Parts: sequence; structure tokens; C-alpha cells
Amino acid sequence: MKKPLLIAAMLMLTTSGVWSQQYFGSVYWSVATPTGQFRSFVNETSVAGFGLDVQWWASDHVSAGLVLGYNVWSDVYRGVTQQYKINDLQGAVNGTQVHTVNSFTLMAGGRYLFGGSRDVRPFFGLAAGAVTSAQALEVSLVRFTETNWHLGVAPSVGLLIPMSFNSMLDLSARFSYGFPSGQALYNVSQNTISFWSINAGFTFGN
Amino acid sequence: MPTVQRMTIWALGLSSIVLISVSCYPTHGLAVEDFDTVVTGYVPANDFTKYRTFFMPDTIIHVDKETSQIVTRKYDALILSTIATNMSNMGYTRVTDTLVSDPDVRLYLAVTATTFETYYGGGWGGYWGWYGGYYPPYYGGYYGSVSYDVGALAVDMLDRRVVAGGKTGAIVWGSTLSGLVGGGISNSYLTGKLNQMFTQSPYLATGATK
Repeated sequence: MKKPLLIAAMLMLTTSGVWSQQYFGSVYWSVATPTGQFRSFVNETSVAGFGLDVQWWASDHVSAGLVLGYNVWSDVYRGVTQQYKINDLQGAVNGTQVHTVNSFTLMAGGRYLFGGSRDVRPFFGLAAGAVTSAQALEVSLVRFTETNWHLGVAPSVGLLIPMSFNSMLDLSARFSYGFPSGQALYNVSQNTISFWSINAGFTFGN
Repeated sequence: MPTVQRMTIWALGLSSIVLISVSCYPTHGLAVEDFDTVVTGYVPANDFTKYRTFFMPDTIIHVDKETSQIVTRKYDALILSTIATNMSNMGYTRVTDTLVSDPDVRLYLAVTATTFETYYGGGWGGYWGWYGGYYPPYYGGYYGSVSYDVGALAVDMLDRRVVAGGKTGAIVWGSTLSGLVGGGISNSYLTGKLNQMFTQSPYLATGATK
């Protein structure tokens, strides 16, 4: 699961030598909170996440490229009683449950930026592609997992604040949504993933 | 900006944010008790309301020698009395002499425990081993090992009149309290877990309680 990010990181580093002025990249810390039914599985805002955007300038105001990200949520629930049914047997399991979801974002997307290259530049963006949800439910020493790829979209708004000639502070808020795919480890009719993220990092390039 | 400088900035920026994120990975500080579970199961087709009496031996079975080395009998009396109290609350009357009165159901309690050992390390040495198994540490060095005791108390309810799989004497309800065998167990904690077996099994109530 970490392979796509590793490839992206290596690609970025190995190609940086041939980058010219029409490219820029953002690396940012991502704080994300689940929404919708996804929140019933992990109900916490996670500070464990990061993202990487690699963008090519299509014009002075429009960029397009890759939107990559990783977020993880993990929450502990004590004293949970969960019903189960296996063939002709029914019952319940009581104990401490640890719910964890790892999610990778692998999308293509673009930004529309207002203002000039030396200004504080508000922008809005839209990305589409894949988002993964790797759910894990641990009870005692037993671990159940379910991993799915979702088609996803991620609209965003943000602000680029110039810091020096080639770098900017990159602040953004993004809503990520993964359409139904596969089955969930928790009791929902459709396995979707949705979360808000607040991202803060740096943009290098011009 | 020179390429080397740009690469350095990128590498530092990326690695810093990755490190910050990874360092924020949640650990929940789970205690030994967090690994305990109470599992119950029953056959829904069985009518528990017809039951009135139960029999339970006054001894908890230790399934093997290793179990006896790990688990003491310090809590046996508490376990037996707590189970009996819960059965009574469910409307069951205890039968102590099966020659005098044939009980509707019989409860059997058994404990099993074993020690797991996990090896950890680098190189080729990172692998799992199971104490007593045949996974000796090979392929280079490992840095150490962690062993932990895992145990379970099983409570099975058997009805000698029910036929399952062509045999009489089916288990109509079963419960297991399992987890890590720790030293911090208390009477109230154990009682709570035993009560939980019945709390999550309300269908056990006999017609006498309705």
C-alpha cells in the first residue's frame, strides 16, 4: 500500500533536476476528520497525514497535475458489544475494539489560482481519481481487515502565500469522497469514505 | 535556484512532513485488560424458556499441564459462585445431585492457557515463532523476544436432549472469556466479565423469570 507514495516521492526527487519554471510542487501536513457514515467507524480527527501535489502550469492561473496523500485514523472503543451471526450460530463479542483506517489518495487534479505570481493567491481546486480505504478492526489479538479502492473526487479551496522567490506557504481545505466500493467492516449498506482535511505546507517552484 | 539546493529543500520538506505525520500515528496505550473479550454464542432455534434446572460441577477443568502452570485456582470459587448467581437470576434452579434429579441443562467450565513468544529483530531474523512450535531462530540474528500468556475460560451449556450432528447432548449456549493472562486481575473485574457473559445473553432467561 505504501508503494504508490514511494514511487511518487522517488519520481519527484529524481525529476527535480530537470524541472523548469513551469512546474511546482506542494508538500503539506494534513489534519483530517471523517464525515458521514465513515464517522461511525472512526470518530476522531487525525493529525497523522500528509500530502504531495505535483502541478504543471497550463496558464498563469491554471495548473494541473497529481494530487497524492495519506491519512490514517485510529480510535479505541472500550466495552463494545457487537452481535454476530455465522450460519446457524448467533452471539455477541464484548471487548475493546481498535478501529483503524489507512487511506491513500491518488488523483489527477488542477487548481485555478487568482492573482499574480507575487501576490497572495487564493485558489480552488478539483481532483479526481482513486482513494483507498484499508479498514482494520482489532479485538483482543484478532484483527479483521478490509481494503477497497474507491473512485473519488476531492474539491478544495486554499491560499498560497509568498515566502520567498521560489517558495510559498500552501494552506488549503479539502473534502475527499470515495464512491461506494466493496464491503465495510462496520454495519453500513454502502462502503464509502469521506473526510475533510486541513492542509498546511510549502510550495516550491514558480 | 540550483538543482542540488532545490532537491535538498524538497527532500527536507518531504521528510519533515512525513516524519511529523508518522510520529503522530496514534497509539492507544492499551492495557492488558483491553485484550480481554467475552464471546457468547447460541443456537437461536433452541427454546431456552423451557428450562428450569441446571447442574454445574464444583470444579473448573484445566485442560492440560501447561494451563495449570500458568493459571492458578485462586479465582475458581469466585468464578463458580458468580456463574451460579447469574444462572439463578436467569430463573434456573441448581441441581447438585444428578442421580436424584435430572437437570435440564448442564454447565461445564474449563480453562486453557498457553505462552506465546514473538521474536523481533532485523535482517532475516524478523519472524514469528510460537512457543513449543518448531520455529527456531535461524536466518541471522534477532534482537530479542517477547512472550505473553494467553488464556481462556470456557463455559458451555449442554442439553442432553438436544440432538446435533446425529449426536445427543448438544451445546446450546457457550461463552468464552479470553485474553492475556495478567497479574492485575481483581475480583470485581473478573466478576464484571462473568456477568457480561449473561448480560449479552438475555435469551437464556427461563420461563420462570417471565
